[in-house]
Amino acid sequence: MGEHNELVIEARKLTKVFRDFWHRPKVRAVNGIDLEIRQGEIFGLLGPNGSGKSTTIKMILGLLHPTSGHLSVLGKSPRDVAVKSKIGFMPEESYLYKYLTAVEILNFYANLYGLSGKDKANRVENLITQVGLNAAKNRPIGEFSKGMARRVGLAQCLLNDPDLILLDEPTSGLDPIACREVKDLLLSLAKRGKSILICSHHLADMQDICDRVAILLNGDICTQGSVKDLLVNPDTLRFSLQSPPRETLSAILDYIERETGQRPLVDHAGRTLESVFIETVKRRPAVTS
Amino acid sequence: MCPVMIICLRQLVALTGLALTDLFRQPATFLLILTNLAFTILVPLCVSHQIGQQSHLAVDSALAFEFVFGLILAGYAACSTLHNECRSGTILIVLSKPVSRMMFFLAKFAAVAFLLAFFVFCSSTAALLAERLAPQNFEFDSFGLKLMLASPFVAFLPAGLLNFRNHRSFVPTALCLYALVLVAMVLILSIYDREGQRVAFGSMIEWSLIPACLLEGIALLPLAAIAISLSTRLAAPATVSILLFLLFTGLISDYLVGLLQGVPWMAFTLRTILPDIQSFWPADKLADGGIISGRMLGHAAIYAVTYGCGVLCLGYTAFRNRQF
Amino acid sequence: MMLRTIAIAWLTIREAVRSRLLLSLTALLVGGLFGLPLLIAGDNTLEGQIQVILSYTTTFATTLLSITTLLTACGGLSSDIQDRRLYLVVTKPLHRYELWLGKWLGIMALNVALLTLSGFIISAMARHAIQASSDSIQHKRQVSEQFLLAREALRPLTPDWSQIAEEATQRLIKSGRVPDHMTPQAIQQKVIEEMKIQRFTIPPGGGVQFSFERPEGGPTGHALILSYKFDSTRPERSPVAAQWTISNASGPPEQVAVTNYPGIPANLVLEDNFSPGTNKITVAYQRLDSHSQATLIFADKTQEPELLITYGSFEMNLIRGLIIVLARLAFLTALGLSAGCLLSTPVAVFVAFFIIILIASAGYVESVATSGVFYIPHEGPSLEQTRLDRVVLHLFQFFNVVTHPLTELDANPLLSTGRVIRWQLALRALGLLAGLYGAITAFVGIMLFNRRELG
Repeated sequence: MGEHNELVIEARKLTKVFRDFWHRPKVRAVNGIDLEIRQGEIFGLLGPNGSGKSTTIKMILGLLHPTSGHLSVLGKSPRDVAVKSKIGFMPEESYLYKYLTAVEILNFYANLYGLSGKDKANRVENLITQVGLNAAKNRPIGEFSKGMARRVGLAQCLLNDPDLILLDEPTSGLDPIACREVKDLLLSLAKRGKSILICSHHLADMQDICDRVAILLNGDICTQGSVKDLLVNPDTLRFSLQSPPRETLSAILDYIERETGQRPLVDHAGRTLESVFIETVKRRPAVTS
Repeated sequence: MCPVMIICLRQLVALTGLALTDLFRQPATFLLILTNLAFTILVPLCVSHQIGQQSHLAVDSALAFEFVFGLILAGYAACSTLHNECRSGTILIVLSKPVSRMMFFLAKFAAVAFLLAFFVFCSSTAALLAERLAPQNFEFDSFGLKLMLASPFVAFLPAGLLNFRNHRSFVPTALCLYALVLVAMVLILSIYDREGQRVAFGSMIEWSLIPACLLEGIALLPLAAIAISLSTRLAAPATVSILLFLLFTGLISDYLVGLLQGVPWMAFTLRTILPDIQSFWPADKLADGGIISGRMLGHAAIYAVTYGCGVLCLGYTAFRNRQF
Repeated sequence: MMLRTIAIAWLTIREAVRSRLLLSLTALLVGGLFGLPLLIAGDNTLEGQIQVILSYTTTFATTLLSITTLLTACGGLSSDIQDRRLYLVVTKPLHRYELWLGKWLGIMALNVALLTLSGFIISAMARHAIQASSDSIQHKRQVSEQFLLAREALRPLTPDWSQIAEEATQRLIKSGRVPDHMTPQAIQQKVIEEMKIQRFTIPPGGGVQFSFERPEGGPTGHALILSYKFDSTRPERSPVAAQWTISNASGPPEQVAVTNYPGIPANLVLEDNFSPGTNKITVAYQRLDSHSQATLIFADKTQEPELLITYGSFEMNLIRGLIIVLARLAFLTALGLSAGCLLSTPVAVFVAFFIIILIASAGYVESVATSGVFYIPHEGPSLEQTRLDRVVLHLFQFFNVVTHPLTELDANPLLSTGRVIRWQLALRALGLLAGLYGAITAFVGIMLFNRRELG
């Protein structure tokens, strides 16, 4: 993880209150949160359903207007149109035009970014290849599965080589291999100095890639910090070593018990289900009908 | 009643109730019904230069508005309840339960039919009021006019209050309250004359309009069946357009059939397919003091039910094999 | 900015094509344009058939495109907002007004295409109907001259009433038949009124004369058409036998016998055999039924006889007419998009149609606004207005000011009668409907769209 520099997103006492027809407060979705996201870091926004994650992202994108507080994105107001040329956004659901093909939709969004000519064509082609949709690039989006539509969503997010990438549930609907690819992609983007803000319920994925996280609950940030610091438990230690002979192990455990008064728990180190899945799939040859 | 039938009945009631609740909450439903009522009641305020024809104008306009708005409401309601549910995918959750497609389809039709029944009820009361409020000899019924101008406030203010205090949805509350206010207005105006003097109950109201409005309501049933059948495949604009086209061709069906006199089988087919709208048009029958008899209503009901069943069968055939 | 706006416009067009909206609309349009003249029985004359074609087809095309434009425009933005497809668009670097403009351009591009197709079909149908008719070549030519040209209406030259009246007044005063209390000015006024009445009334066996001044340099080689209509003082509308004498400064006068019915417009086709440079044409109407008891009236100033001269081709006139229709569609598109910016699709459709109905009620609004007759109170016969009446009347007068320009710009009556639609009218329609009203509607819509939250 590179050195983190200037702020790309700064929120001070950011609040969003939804009101009813009579202008009475109905829901306090975001309640005076302070948030700082720096350049080149991957920041995770966690929280249960209804905690205010999506509302926060929508305020950053200028889709919703904050009720009070200060919010700046890349040093400007989120409603500044010029700022959006440096932002890429991938929503939770793929809100795409069903009658367009993947290539057409990327061309359309590229036009909105002001790209044209060879540059546009090259970028679209590269992104289609990068998200693995070469075979289906000329089919209408309406015929895509959810996972395929998510890949198009990811591709359009990266069209303009953004400095700030906002992702809402980026791995939702993707198989484990695609998940791994997306995570690797995000890590590589962060290494290049891109700032990434992710909302997700997949805690394992967030733990894998995020530098810092914030946990929202009922519109408040109740915990915020680097993943390493949050996860570390300073009161316990973990040793890793090659399995010794039984007698040696027993002697070590007896010694520790004598010295500390505690008998340590011993277990074999395991792999994650994700790595087992990926290994298994990659090992088997592809089945052709 | 056997347990299976009880379950089916419960399912039907649940599905119809849900669809009807959803329809009642929609702003478009509210606007369509309200606009029909406003047009019907406000037309008598337009000065007519045909002396003695003001009541006639009010009645004809009321019946025409009921027909056209009812048709648009049927088309919109059918698409809103069936087509949109197919499009959004919520139908998958319903059909994954032990609910047959036939049950689902009929429940949607029933919901549209109940909505139209409510609409016809409101239209009928509005037609009675329009006829009563129509100026006689260029003199307005100012007593009735004041009641009429106050009626929206009497209905909508409590609905707004309920929304403010209890968070009850404004639209269905306002609709129901306005229907009640209209009934109350009819009752009041049936016992008071234009000067505000008490008279015998019912002497100031043209009750013969009720069967006429009912006849039109019966005409809306086969159109609702067409609407629900079309909405299995088509969206609202296409459905309403086709309904309006059928209305137009139904009104000139005699002329069109006449053009095909030389080809009897085509003329017969056309006459069978096109809904016989002309038979349902009560204004001609009411002219010169005519009345709509119970027998007429019975015949119309039989035609509507038969035609509607035929159309529903076709609609169900389109819906039965549809994949989502 | 242009690239983004055009991208949105192109997306709108593609959506219309791929959702088969364009296809079904084209099929409906073509079917209606060809089918309506077959369904509607005219008066079994070639003139009636051409009028049916020109009148009903243009009205059908205008109405159909107006309704579908409004529906499409209302759903253009609101359905994207409802389905949340707009999230991925507004989060791109484009202003909301660019999005609005792009949608407007896309819908207008479709309208241009469909109007062009309608124009081709209408023109082809009218020409084909004349060609395929079994009438004589001369009659076909006359009908073609009457309907398939753009014609300008010349009004009869108005005599110098003051001078004639002055001379008549002097004669009356000299004759001593004038009451003493009447001043010469009052006498002159009465004389003018009497002369005007005499000019437009024709007693049995009587006649009347009109002169027309043709502008120089206009197209020649086409027939002239004398269009007239008169009423009768008798309730029975018996036909009237008469004779028109057409004369000019050079050449012998031409006489044409006619039989017309009171209340029914008539057209007399005059071959343009006038020598070049002939500008003043005089037509004299002489009744041949001296035994009749009916006096004929050439209506009032607005319905006096007109001489229709050639202005230009039918196709150019049709183009100008379609430009007026396009201007109206531009306004409707703006109205629909602006309504869709704030409201859901069905409510936006409803509100937009409600506004259109209000505009369409402009005739009634105008009559109330100008006559002041709206609500006659029940208490007593007096027409004294209450405060409510005054408020409502002011409201109607305001509506009249706003809606009057929207309704007076209608090309269909001119097209179906072969009257010229001038470029000034077409450009005025563009400027007023598309430019002023459209711009105001667009401004309001974009403003609302900018303030709208899309979460």
